[in-house]
Amino acid sequence: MAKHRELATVMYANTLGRSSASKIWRTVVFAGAMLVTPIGMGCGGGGGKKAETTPPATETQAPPAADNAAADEAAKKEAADKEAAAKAAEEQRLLAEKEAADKKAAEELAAKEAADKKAAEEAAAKKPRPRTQTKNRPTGRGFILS
Amino acid sequence: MSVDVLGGIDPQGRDDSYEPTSPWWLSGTPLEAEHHRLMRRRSVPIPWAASTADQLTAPERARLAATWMRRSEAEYLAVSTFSVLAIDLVAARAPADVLSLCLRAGIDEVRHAEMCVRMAKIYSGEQNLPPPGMSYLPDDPEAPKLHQALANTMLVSCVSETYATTVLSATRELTTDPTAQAVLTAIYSDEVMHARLGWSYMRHAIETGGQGVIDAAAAMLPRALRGVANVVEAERPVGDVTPAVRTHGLMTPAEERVIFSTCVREVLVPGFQALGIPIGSALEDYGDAWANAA
Repeated sequence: MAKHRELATVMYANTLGRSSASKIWRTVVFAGAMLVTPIGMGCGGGGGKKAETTPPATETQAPPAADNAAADEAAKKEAADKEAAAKAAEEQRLLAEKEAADKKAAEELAAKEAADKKAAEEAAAKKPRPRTQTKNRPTGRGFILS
Repeated sequence: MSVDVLGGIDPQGRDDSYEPTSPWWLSGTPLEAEHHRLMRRRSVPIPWAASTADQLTAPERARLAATWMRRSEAEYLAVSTFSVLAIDLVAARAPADVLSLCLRAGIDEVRHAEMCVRMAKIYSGEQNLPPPGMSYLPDDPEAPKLHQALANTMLVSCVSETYATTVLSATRELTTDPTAQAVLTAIYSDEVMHARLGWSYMRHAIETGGQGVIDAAAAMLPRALRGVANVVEAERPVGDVTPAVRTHGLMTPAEERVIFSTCVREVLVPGFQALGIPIGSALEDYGDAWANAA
């Protein structure tokens, strides 16, 4: 009888916690961490960035040649056109300069805002948890069994 | 994938036979009604009047009262553990379901503390309360918030709560007192979700955070295991764990060591390895030599 008790004790010790461990493995760890799905295919993730496409460059057509019979008239017209074109080009240059200045100012403002935001995020990231305790203490808890 | 976690227990079910668990611990204000509404969400009814405590000897009752009181202290501290963990998860912008379950876990721990206080009263006849206190979780302002949230989730949920479910499951099998059995079952059914919360968040964090998260988890692992081992190795209340005491939900410290060792080898280590987290010397640290050292 005593031997039976000893045997039962040994068998109990050998199986202690095994069935529970098996159940917890399946129901908590395997199910919780979704181990049926390989890492990288489960939650999270995101779609790949679409390739950028560059529109094809368009070729410019050469203007037709001037008529010899109306050379003078054409020369005058050409001079007037040149003057008008120069004026337009100057206006365009001034406009472009203004746009560039505006763009630069906007970029500087955006850069400053980004730098301020980054500094704020870095400051927040290094902020200790509210009411945190500075003294190091042992960690961890477990259900008190006995 | 459908998994029968609780063997027919409905974790969202309500207990129509609910009665205030430890009314001497309440505020005496109208808040009590809302508190009962929250506490009512319990997986199994507790047959408080069915306790067989009167069949025990005085030393056996004293032993059980001391252990259930210590359990109430641990469950009470766990309220603040999950509260602090929730702060870390918010700082890391964790998914909403992780946040809600973490905060609910804190409420569950209030329920557990109340149940353990009442169990202690059943054995001692005294209306005692757990001492005030706050649990500690590591805080490193230099570490990325995601890494800290993940590391503390591993400590609290993946290691501590997973061990708790393993040990509760094993203890329930030995417990025949109907009141103790129901209380352990109620706690177990909540702890399953507390533990699963951690494994799910760890999977999510690795998917989104990559190698840095894995490194943070690997660095926390020995600390987390040591934290639970400290609890297992801690000194116990005076008194023998007699066969009668065992039927009220107690195991010996030696048995606890074996269960923790088994949990490390067959649950925790395989889980971390499957997620690609290096396990270091966990198997050697908590192998047979440690298990049989008591």
